[in-house]
Amino acid sequence: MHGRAVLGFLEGMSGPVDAEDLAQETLLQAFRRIGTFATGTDFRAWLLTIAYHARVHALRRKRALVAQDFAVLASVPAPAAATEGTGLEAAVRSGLAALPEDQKTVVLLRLGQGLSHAEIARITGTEEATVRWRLFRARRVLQKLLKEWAPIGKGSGT
Amino acid sequence: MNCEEAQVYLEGCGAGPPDDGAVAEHLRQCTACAQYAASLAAENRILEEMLSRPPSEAQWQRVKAGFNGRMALELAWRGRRLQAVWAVAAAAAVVLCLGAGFLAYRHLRPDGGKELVSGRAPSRSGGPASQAPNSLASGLARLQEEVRSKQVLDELEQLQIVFREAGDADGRSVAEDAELYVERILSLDGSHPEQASEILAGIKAAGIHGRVQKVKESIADDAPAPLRASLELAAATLDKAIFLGTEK
Repeated sequence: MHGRAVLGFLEGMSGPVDAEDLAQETLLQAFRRIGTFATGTDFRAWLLTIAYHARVHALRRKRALVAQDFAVLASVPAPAAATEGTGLEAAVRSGLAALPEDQKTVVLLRLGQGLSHAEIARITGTEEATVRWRLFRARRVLQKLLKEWAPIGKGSGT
Repeated sequence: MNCEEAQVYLEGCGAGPPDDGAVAEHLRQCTACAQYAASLAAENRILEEMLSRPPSEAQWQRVKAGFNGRMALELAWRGRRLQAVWAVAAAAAVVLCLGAGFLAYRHLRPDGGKELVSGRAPSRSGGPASQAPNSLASGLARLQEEVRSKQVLDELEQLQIVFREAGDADGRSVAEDAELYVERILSLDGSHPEQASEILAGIKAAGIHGRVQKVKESIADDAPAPLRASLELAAATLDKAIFLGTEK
């Protein structure tokens, strides 16, 4: 149940191929660190914290590897981009993929997993206000996509 | 609170009523912002529906299968490590008992045990510990030395990274499994040939060598030389280990 939530989050963050690997890594890490889970707290949030750190770690490693061994990487084919879902969904996922990492994280945790700002702040090690601000900026991009595909009537502020 | 502040707040929220009292109050008084909040809520519902969609069953099953395989290897590896820890603890206990016995003996003997200390150590040529290492033990030591000197584990680590970057889940999984088996080879103790032989035979039974060969054959002819060399090294290491395990 929670494993699927982890996989869904990681798929949004890194695409389907890397997500499977990172989800396995997250579950293994959870198994190794199960003693650190505080009883009475949210198990799903704990798992998502591990998943978030696994993703950050993988990204750092990827960047270091690209810098060090670009020649080898350039010779192997890149994974195919995720293009599943309806036109609108593909557009939203593509827009999401183009977002900066920090904004993508809060969008997926808030809208994808339904976590509170406080929980997201704990997972990402930031302030709630920062989470809110990142979500605000990400939404501006996603709103534009939604308007293009499925216009939603909207009032204007004063 | 003015409209701009309320709207910035609302855009930073998900679906549901605002959890800030001042914003809620503003929405009650400002029709435009209330409409804006309603349209945001509609957008949120669309986004939430898309982004909270669970992964496909096939994808989840692949993750589960991969996780189970890695867990099984990890548990086997932990079990072996635990055995090694117990073996060291038992050896330490024996040494301590022998030391305490010797001290007690010296204390009780009228000559303080001088004869025992100055005398020649009793010959232990017939004991098992002084036996020349059997072929498996010496072969294993050579293989372990080779694994260390050729940095096979590092090579396998690099292979995993390259396969991961290439999106080759099978190649990556084979490299990960091969790494675990090479780690197990390094953990083997040549002074327990039966146990070592059993584990080496297990490597053969697991079919990892065949999987490495398959990956080696599947990569394109123009694949980078280091990639091919790392696979060759992994295959050769596993080949030698299997040979040791089946050698009579």
